[in-house]
Amino acid sequence: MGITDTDQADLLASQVSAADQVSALYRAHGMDLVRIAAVMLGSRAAAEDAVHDAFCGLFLNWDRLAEPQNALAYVRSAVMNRCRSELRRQIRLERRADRTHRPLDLESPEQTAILGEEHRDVLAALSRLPHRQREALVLRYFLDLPEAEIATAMGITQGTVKSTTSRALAALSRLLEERS
Amino acid sequence: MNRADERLRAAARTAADMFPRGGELPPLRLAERTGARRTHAGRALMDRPRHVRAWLAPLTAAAAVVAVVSALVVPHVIAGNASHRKPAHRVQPAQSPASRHEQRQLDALIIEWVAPATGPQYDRGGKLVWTLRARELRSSARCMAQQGYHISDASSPYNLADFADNSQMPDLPRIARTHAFVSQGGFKPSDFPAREQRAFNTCERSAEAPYTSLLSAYQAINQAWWKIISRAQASRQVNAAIPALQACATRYGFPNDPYGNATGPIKSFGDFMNWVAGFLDGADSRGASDSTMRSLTRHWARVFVTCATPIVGIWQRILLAEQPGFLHQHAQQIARLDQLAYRWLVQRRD
Repeated sequence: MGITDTDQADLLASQVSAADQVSALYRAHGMDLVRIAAVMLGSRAAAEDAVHDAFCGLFLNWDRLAEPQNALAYVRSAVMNRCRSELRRQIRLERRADRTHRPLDLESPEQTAILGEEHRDVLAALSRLPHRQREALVLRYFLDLPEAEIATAMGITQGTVKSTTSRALAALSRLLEERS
Repeated sequence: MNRADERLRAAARTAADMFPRGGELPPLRLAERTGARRTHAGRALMDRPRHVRAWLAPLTAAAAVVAVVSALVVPHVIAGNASHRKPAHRVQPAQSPASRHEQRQLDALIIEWVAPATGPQYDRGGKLVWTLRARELRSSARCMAQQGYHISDASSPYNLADFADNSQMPDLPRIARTHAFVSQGGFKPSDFPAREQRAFNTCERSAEAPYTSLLSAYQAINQAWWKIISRAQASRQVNAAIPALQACATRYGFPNDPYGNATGPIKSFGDFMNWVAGFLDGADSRGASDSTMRSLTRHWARVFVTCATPIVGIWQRILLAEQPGFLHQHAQQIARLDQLAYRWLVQRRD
């Protein structure tokens, strides 16, 4: 039995190291992920860290990926997990700092720089949504993902994506109205 | 352009310009395996715990541990301090009984601040930061007054709930007692005019400056302790308790989620917490009344405590067992922290 094209392709694929494949994925999609993480976290530096860590995790688990073509979905989901984790950490730190009775400078220059002055209200309103709602909107609007892929990234059903997005938009509208 | 979705699309277009595909990214350092492992531990923080046996009353257990650890470690720390430092650098040269009492309180607080093993310990440790922040606030208020602005220097009363972390260090006795979660509500944007906010930021930075060394010393030890927490919460024992956690959730309606859809399996404590929190977030998003929210919170707080108790008990027992060794191992660093805290929080009563 001769070597088929598929066999040859498999052989070639296996020769490409995991590092090369992860690096190629990082180059192709890293900035998209930094963009959504920056909107989630309000900080480019934190976003870059989250994305970097997610790709390192992908690299470590490469051999355990059942289907390498799903690597992008895996890393997208990992970035969301890291954003959630970071947001919880921030809440924990804020809580521990007991800043409840002090004015917060959350619209910092860095936050404004993420999207510019004209979108500051949108960013501020987004940051006040529950995490899940924020994720749904960020994945939908800032990454243009279809519902099926949002569901994969968030680990929820497509039906839940629909309802979460719809409620998130309603909540965002209310918050934007309050601010205006 | 008033509609929320239109404004979101506009913001997304701007974001796409600011973060263009092919734009400059930091180099990917895949070779840093230790860094990657740290990432793994970080994920464990999210993908938390599981259950197993009956839960010891954590408040009692925590108090006992603190008493024991204080008795074992702190004298050791202070003795170590005294023998390794010149007398001029000692924490408390000649303490009155009142000072000794304060020192003991401080020692216990520091342990709970730096290396909490339970939710109640975690919450109580927050009192130290509250004290510190109250001092900073007084200092900021003085600074603002010099610039012609008045802000209140009265800190809010100490409230355990302000320091809660339901996802990693849930204080189940408090939740059971109060029938309430701590609000996860977002941060309120400042209502202060820009100039006053800038003045406040400057004053705040200046007020924080004296405590930098104290917080740096704290952070170094606390980070090491959180690695242990991550390990405990990702441990085999904790993972083995997840099926029971899901079974418990099933008794209260899982897998239905707040929007009436089936939700994915509970693979971690974080999944469970998100599921519970979703009912409150969902109701809040739908504009539920205060009384509805109170009633929902009461119900879900009970569910949370019931289902979380076994699994939280497992990781708490692991952490309580790890805590004394950790404190011994970091005795010198804790001594330094103790010294700084005593200097800034007990001796200086400004």
